[in-house]
Amino acid sequence: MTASNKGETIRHEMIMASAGSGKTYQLTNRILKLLALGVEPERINALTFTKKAAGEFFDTVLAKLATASEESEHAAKLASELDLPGLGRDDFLVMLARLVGRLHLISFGTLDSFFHRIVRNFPFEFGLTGDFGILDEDGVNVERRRVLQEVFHGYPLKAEVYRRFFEAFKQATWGTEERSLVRLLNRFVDENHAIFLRAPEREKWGDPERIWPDGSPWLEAQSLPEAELDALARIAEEKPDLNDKQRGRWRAFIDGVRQWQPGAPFPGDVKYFLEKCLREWEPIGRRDAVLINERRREVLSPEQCKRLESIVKYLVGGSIGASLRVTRGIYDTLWQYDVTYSRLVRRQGRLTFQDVLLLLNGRFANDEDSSGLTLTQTDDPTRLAVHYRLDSQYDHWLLDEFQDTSFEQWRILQPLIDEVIQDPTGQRSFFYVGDVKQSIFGWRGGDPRLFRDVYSYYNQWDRDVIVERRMNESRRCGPAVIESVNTVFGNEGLFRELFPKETVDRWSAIWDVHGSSRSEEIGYAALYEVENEAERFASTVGLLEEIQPIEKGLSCAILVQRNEVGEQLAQYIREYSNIAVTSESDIRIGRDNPLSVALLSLLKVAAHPKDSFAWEHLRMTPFNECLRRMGFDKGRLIESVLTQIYREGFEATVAAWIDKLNEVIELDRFSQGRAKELITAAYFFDRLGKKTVAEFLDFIDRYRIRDVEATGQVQVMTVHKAKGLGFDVVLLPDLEGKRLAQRRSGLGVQETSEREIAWVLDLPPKEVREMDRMLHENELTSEAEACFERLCDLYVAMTRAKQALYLIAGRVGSSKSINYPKLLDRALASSEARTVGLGQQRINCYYEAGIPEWYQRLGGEPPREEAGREALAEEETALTESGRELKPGGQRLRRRTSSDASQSDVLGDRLFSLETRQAADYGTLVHWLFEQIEWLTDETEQALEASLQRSSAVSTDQKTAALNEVFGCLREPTVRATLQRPSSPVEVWREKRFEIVMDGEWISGVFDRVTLIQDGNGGYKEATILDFKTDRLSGETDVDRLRDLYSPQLRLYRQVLSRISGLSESRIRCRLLITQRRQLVDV
Amino acid sequence: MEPRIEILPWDRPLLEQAVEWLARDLPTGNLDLSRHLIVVPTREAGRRLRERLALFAAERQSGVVGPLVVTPEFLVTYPLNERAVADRLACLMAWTRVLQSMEIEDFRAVFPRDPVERDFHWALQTGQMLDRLKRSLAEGGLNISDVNRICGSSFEEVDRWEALGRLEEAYRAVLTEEGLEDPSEARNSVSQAPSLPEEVEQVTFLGVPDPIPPAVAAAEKIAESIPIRVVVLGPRGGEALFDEWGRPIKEVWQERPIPYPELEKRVHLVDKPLQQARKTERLVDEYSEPECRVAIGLLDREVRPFLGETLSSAPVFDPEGESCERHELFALLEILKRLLRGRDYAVCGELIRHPSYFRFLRETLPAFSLERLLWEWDDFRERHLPATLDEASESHGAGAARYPTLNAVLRLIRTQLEPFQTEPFSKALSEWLRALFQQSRVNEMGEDGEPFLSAAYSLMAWLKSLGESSFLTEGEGGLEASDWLELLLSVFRDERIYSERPEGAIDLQGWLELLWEDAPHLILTGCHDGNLPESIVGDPFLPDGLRRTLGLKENAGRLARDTYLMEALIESRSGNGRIDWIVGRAANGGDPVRPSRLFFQCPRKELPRRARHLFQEVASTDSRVAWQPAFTLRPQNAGEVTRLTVTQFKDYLACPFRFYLKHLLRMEPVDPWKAEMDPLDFGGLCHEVLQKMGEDPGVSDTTDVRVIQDLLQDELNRCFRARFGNALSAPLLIQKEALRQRLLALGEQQASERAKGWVIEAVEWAFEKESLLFPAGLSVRGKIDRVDRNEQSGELRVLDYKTSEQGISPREAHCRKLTGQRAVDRPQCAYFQWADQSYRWIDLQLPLYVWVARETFGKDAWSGYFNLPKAKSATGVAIWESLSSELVDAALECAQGVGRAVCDGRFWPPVERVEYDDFESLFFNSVGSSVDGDYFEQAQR
Ligand code: SF4
Repeated sequence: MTASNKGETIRHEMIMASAGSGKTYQLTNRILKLLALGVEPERINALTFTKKAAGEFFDTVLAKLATASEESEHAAKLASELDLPGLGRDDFLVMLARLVGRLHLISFGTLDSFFHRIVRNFPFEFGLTGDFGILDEDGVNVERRRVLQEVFHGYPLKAEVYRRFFEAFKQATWGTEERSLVRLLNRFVDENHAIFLRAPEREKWGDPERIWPDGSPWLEAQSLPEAELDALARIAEEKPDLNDKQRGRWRAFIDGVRQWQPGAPFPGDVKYFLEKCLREWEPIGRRDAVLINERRREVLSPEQCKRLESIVKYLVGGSIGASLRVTRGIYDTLWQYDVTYSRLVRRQGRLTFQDVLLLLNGRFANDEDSSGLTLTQTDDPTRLAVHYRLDSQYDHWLLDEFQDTSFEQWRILQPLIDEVIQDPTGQRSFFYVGDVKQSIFGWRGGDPRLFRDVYSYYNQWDRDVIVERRMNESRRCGPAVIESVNTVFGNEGLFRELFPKETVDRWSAIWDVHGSSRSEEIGYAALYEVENEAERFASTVGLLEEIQPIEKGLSCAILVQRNEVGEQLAQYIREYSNIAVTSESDIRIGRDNPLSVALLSLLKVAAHPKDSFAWEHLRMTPFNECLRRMGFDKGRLIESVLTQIYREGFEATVAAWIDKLNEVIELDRFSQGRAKELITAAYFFDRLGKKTVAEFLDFIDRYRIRDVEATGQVQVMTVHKAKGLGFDVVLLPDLEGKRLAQRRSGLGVQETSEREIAWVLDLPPKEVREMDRMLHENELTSEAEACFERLCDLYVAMTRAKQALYLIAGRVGSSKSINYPKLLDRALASSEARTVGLGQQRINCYYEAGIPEWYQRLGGEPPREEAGREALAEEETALTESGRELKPGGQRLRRRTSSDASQSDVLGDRLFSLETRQAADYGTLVHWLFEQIEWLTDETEQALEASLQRSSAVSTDQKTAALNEVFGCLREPTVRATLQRPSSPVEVWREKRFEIVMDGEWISGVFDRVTLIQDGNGGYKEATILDFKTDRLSGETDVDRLRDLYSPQLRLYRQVLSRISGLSESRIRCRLLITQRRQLVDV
Repeated sequence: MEPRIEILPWDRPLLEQAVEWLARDLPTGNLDLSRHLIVVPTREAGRRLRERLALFAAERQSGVVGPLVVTPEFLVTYPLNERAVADRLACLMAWTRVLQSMEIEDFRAVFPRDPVERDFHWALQTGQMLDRLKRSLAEGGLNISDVNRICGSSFEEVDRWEALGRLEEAYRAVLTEEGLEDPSEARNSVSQAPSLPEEVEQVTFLGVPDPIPPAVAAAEKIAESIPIRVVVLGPRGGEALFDEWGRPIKEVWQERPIPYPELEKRVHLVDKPLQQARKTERLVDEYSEPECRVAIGLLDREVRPFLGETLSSAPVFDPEGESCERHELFALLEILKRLLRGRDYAVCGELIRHPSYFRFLRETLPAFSLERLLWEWDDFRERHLPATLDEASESHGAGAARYPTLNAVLRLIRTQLEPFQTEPFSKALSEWLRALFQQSRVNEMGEDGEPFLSAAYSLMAWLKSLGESSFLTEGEGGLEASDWLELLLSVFRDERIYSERPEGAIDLQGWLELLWEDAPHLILTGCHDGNLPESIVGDPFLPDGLRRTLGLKENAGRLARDTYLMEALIESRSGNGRIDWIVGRAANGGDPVRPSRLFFQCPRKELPRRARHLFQEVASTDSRVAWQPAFTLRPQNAGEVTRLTVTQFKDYLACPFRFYLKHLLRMEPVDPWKAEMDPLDFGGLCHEVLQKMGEDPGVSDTTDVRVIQDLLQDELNRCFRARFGNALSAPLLIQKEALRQRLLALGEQQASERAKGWVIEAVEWAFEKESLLFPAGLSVRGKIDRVDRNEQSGELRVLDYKTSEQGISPREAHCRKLTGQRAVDRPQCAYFQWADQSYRWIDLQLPLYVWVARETFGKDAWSGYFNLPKAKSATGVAIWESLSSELVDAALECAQGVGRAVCDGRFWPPVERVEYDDFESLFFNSVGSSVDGDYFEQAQR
């Protein structure tokens, strides 16, 4: 730390960083600057969204410090970047040392893990029970099934609750499949539970007062207007100028309306006039409407208008009414589900990250009392408690990808940040960075509006509390790519023409013209328009073959909107070219190859032999041969597999059967790889502590792996996955799809400005929505929102390209739908097309920037990967060479305990008997008493009694019994004789341990009692080994049985004693004292 | 007497030096160490020492007597049976009792929020946390109430600890009342007045860098009467680096550089635990006989499973043993617990699949077949969807013939559960287990006999403790058997099973054991910060800050200790040996991990290089392999076909190969998750009800809607009751309601059909025809749902009930007009010309019915569907008006074709794309490439 830096403060800062403009760079430099200013690393909290990014921050910071502390040149450069020119190598070294010395305290992690940490340390405050764990997606699925089962079966017990639930569910699933309810309910919960969690209050669901505070004219007419229908029917029949077809239309309409149940979709015959009426709604009101009926104009009479008006009101009103009811039904169903879920899962400490958030926000439907901890109203004590239990107090906050932060997340952070901002010393700071144009995680809660809101909030009283910086110079994309981006996204006029106003206003506020710092490579960007999907795929292959990116050492990605398209495209490329391609979508290892499926059939048969599908399938596979060789029929298979599963787990079972298969066929490399992955998956399953095959199959079915990250291959992936990455060449052949301003499907939700949900409604059909002002407004907002996000998607996709970008879209033609192809066509296309030849194909290119042959100037560098491989191989050999010289350490032995020698089989019956256990304890006690006796004297009995008194470990009954048994022995003359001190010099061992090696085995044991007669020269003359046996006996023969049982053990003792004492074995006497019989037996 | 500290120079491993050192004062010959008490850090270290002593003595043709080798724990627990110390079970029970009986309002500082349910489960879980807390504090010789005393009143959490202190008091009171003492407190008082076995004349602390403070306190007292020597592996003359108890001095060691040899070559960076294991394996593979040459240090238990039971060159041995939680006995009791709790039918299913249980069944029931039992269990479940054991046993007396084994087993299970309601828990459980294992000798349980025995012993020890203590049994009235079992399992779960070390094995050692390892080559896996040194950041009770204040083991102390240990490991291999450190970059779940701080214990100037090495990017060494199938399927020959049912034609026309799989191999999956009726059940139940309607003359002849509907409803209720009992689950109730709606709608239609003159002539009219039309030996079977005769016109019609969601038009369901150049991929006989148009048969059901009617009644009949779909408006009879005699003949021609093909065994080639593919899971890319077609065709000949 140089003196010049002391006392320098650091500003709060917001950075809006366009794609590729060096967001990570800014963030890591900020951390470095803090460190340079002397901030302790553990006082910095840098949070982002992915684990990977979090890991990279830290690595980058460290790498920068390492380089700067090694070379002055780098030090100077970094110093100037940090705007702390006084810093030199040594300063960076000090910083590095401080950083690595505190590794364990540094929390550069994900937001999720930060919140998780808080909850984990406050279990009682959050009313949680037991050990705390995060549920992953798979865990949620499993729990959901359990909860639903409970919901299903809990109900017959409580008729009233059940009735409500039943009604609710019926309403909520109006008009859907009745025969696979379980699946339906599962999906239903999956789709709507998140909304429920955000709006757990009943009154927010389907309450007309909330949706239409001023009332809705539609809701008045909800009953079938019989009279109007009759009247309308009469008019239609009597109207003179109608032909049969037209009259038929009216009849069908009237019948249709009669049949229609509110909530059901409108039948075609009803829709026919309904739509026309809605379009002519005003004239109908004026009673002078004209409709087209069967391609002919039909002038409606005023009475007809009036009747029709009532009927349409009924249709619309009935529809909305049904929606309201269904919404409440949905609520009730979700509520039931959530109550059960909370009890069985959440409050047992198994939480999803979403739950953690809500917990910290203090909102759970089923928590009647909301005392305890909520972080959103953090007062001082709570905040202190958080610091204290987390062992951390953060002075400096850095939030990355801020546009993806959700409102709930922010509500938790805000009090902590407030504190930072209000800190009077100026020694604390807040920094956030992101790009609103890359807000593509709205579907999981990301709230891009926060970006500006937070800024305005802190700056409302005092401008410049937070400094704003914008960065628009891309270090990733070349000039041609940037040009195309500017052309598409900077065309406000066009946007205004195509998109909702709100969308355009938002976009314009964040849009700045981009620049590129890669001026040395111009690169290329182009828009191709082709006829159909087949051509889009074909031209993709054509381009790849033309450019040959991998040969040239270029990274290349094909970005798609949906996983399925990615899969198809990858498949297509593999089929029609030799280009190495990997699809980044998740692989379901349990399903995608015959080996896995066969193995799962095997397990299925074992648990469910009735499954003839699995069994017959198994018999078609080489496993059949395994079974034949092993001589296994179905019965043997079942027993063997089930036994192995319970004894050794699924991992071992799966591995064992793959081994068996390997004896029958030779597995190719791919299948070997899958086999390993299956084994790994099974290991993870075993860790869940489950044993049922059905659960395992279910687990494997959902188990997915990501393809290994592949350099040296063309990568197909979704735009979402590509976020944060950059590639030399990017192809976008999957741009088709619905219009951009289309609301996301699902429940209609209206938010307040505080991001609270104001109301929820299961929306009525589109034609109805359009008739109602509130619903229509809601729709427009959702559309604008969706449209904005879709623009972000495209922005992210296009800005992944470093050098070249190929947009491959279908012909727009006369289509009115405003989708990506339309946007690109309008924004980029010139009227004249250039024809490009790709192999056989001729393609129309409507837009170009940069140099079409950009790739031809590049040489053929080998892909990096190979180099890495070689290095690895080298390292391996080096290791091998040095391995051999080591002398082995100490020898290891097989171990035996002396009692092993006399081990008999244990009968389960005895093993699990409480009496056996008691007898064992009793035996220990008797042993212990004997151990107390050195030599028998007159005081022995008294002493024993006294020492037994002190021991409180056993029951009094047992004590008395044991004492009596010992006393009984002591009064037996033969026994007395062995325990009395002999006249010759003697040594006695009691409970003496020994360790010895015999026949290469290490034997440990304990002598109960050994008397050794000394020979006066430090050696022994003879010895007696006495072993106490407390076995319970019946009948005379048992003594012989005992002797047989224990003689191996005593023979071993004799050998051991002989070795240790130097006495020959013949001078060692071995005796058993059978305490129950008070009998001494020689062995 | 002050303890005397002695340094063993660390240029050689501790173990061999320790043995030499112990033997040095002894006369040759016998190693009589029986007056020695040797304190070593861990159980395994003691084992290693005794083994080595035995070897040492063997070289002198002798053995070793004594010594008493103990862990520091011993000094504060000896002599055990002089105090009535509560065992873990008693402690938990005491906590549980306190937590259940407390007035939660009085403890708001601890429990600001009410738990979901203050039931036994909650109390036990919470009790476990408090028990752990108490034990953590006890490591420093503290009680909960000491915390506030030490921290003073300005302490942030003073109220909370005050409340915790009161809980502790209540807990202590419960124990005292039972004449028991808390184990940690007992240890504390022992440490004030320790005693040793009388023969001990010499105490030696041998290589114990980190004894627990109470043990040190005890040792200080002991040192007043018995000489204590402290032996430390360390640098020559380095006495000043350690305190008098051989603990590395924190201030000295936490800054001390560690001299890693060849760090860049020996520290290996890999990706995840799996890769760590692979790397380890490669390193071990350098040796043909790795035993005694290599040992593996497991610093991160996540790596353990990937190492498996054997590496390619040697088995591995984990002295940590295996947790009882993974033992089959635990699994068995876990099942029992859930069975006691909910008596679920599904849990019964788990029980009968447990090897111990099915073995027992085989020994108990005459002619028992597990396969049969499992078959019945699934079959019963699929038909009756029982929720509980009791539902299953009650409702199906009539199924006795179909489910003989199942019924016997369910009865047995129920009987076996009864004592849990009437007897004391420990007795009930012991009896239950005895019955199960009555016949088995443990050695017959295969090679697992050993672990099984030790698991069983520790289980029974706990069970006995549970049964004996008056304190525990007293409250029995309040607890359910499943609660007792939960309590029992909570202690059983933590027991460990140790197995014998296999010959030639490589040891997997924990960090603290490594000092005692003398294999020259150490491979340390999982060298991550957090494991090495272990660090605690954040805790609900004892965060690091508080630990520091309380003088408990804290991060800085661990750093010092581990620095010492690491240096000792390195130095003791400087002459002969080598260490490889394996560092992963991410945990299994993908969370990034960082290299151990210990790697940065170096002179400053070396830092940058180290940092760059340790934080370098890790290249993935896995490479991608192109997709390839492991094998193709070879379906076996299923034998001759002698009869076809009318509905099977449809399947053949859709795809001959799938027809083969479905009807000849009869492949049919079992859905283990079935919780509601599937479409087949749904239709079946419907048919059952409608059959009743058809058979009831009073109904089939009436035009009164109410009469018909009443009957339908009654029948529906009866069928449901017969099949599913009285307590219907929610999905069944909903399905029943749906069915009811449909039947009501059908009732209306039935009345109006009757009014039109249609009288039901027959229902479920079965036929089997051997006809000249078909190849010899092949018959066609079927069952017509319903035959109607019109009482006015005398016309006949044959009807099939359809319960699909939408109403179906018979014509569309049977044949399809071909347009454009659709692929001609079906069997040839499916195609036909009609009025200059090409058509394809999809189904032949109705034409065949017409044909059967023609054969039987001598005239053609109308035919069609009686639809009962979801929408009321689509309910009713749909007649195939245009089904003429000629068209029936065309259909017959097609049927003949199918018949011939089936008899000739023509099931190949398959149709690649079908509408609903039940066999999808078997095919990849295409059916043709997934099945060995040549083999299959051969097999058919
Ligand atoms: S109730 Fe009916 S279906 Fe169930 S077992 Fe008895 S006879 Fe079979």
